[in-house]
Amino acid sequence: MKTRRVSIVKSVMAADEVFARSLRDEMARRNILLLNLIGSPGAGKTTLLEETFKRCGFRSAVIEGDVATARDAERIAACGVPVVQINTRGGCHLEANLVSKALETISLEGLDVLFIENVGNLVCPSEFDLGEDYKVAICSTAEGADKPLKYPHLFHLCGAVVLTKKDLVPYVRFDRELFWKDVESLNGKASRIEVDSLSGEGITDWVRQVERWLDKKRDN
Amino acid sequence: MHEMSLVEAMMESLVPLCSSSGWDRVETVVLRVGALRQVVPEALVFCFETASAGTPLEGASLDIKEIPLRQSCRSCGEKWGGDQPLGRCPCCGSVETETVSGLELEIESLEVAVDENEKG
Repeated sequence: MKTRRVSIVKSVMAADEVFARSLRDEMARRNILLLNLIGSPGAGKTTLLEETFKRCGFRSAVIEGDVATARDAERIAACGVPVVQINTRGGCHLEANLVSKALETISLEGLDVLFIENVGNLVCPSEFDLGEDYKVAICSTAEGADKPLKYPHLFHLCGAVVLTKKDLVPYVRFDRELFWKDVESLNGKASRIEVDSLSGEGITDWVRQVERWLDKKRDN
Repeated sequence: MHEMSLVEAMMESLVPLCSSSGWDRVETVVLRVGALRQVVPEALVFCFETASAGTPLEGASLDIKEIPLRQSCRSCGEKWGGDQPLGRCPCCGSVETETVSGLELEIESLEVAVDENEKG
């Protein structure tokens, strides 16, 4: 038996990255903006989407990632937006191969924006490339202002941070200044948006951000 | 806990590579893991031991090299490490920063064993 060292330099996730690349290529070809929404369970990801669809002019579709149930997909479908639910059955994140498979059941014809609502989790989903143009970090005031520094990977890589449930600030002792200071220390480029989805406050700022990304993608 | 997904992806590329290259066994897998990646080494080793059973990678050791975080400024070219804020250049204040290293998740090399007699 003889041993030798072989140099290979290959991404650990090479197999899934093939799917991510092909998703990115397809979205580029069709001029569709792909956004990967990541946040804790209960951060308000689905509610943000529901309110977005009441106010936006762009044509959307949604891929919903959840461990179990089709509840989120039912809420999105009630908005009249095409949606496909992925149940990961215990999996803590979506992977590009799952998204590719889900897209076989949805028409991309004439779409402007495809939203992926990832499994509720601040850690694992940010590790997997889904071919998105931007990751969006969604964090609610009730979770506490310390989340950016505790979960730096997502906040460092995202294109925008949406702070939800701003109406709860008087009740949950949320240090807004600290939150945004920590976001900036990790990512000076990310857009910073505050919303109260229930009253609709701030939703227009979010919709405008999506439109800016869409314009930018279509100009290039 | 996404380490099992990482290990499964790794197996998916390494097991076929072993058979196509004629390696009988892999003794060591050297990984480069960036400081910003959320990978727990103990979990990765545990998942690897489980997933490699019955493959040419069974019993191989995982050598995990942590790659430190390095940022650089697109505006002035300044370079700095993880002790400074990542999002803003400490020299010129620009937010046009990029991560030069610290996001790696790569297989760097393998130590493989080939049975000389068997292969003639």
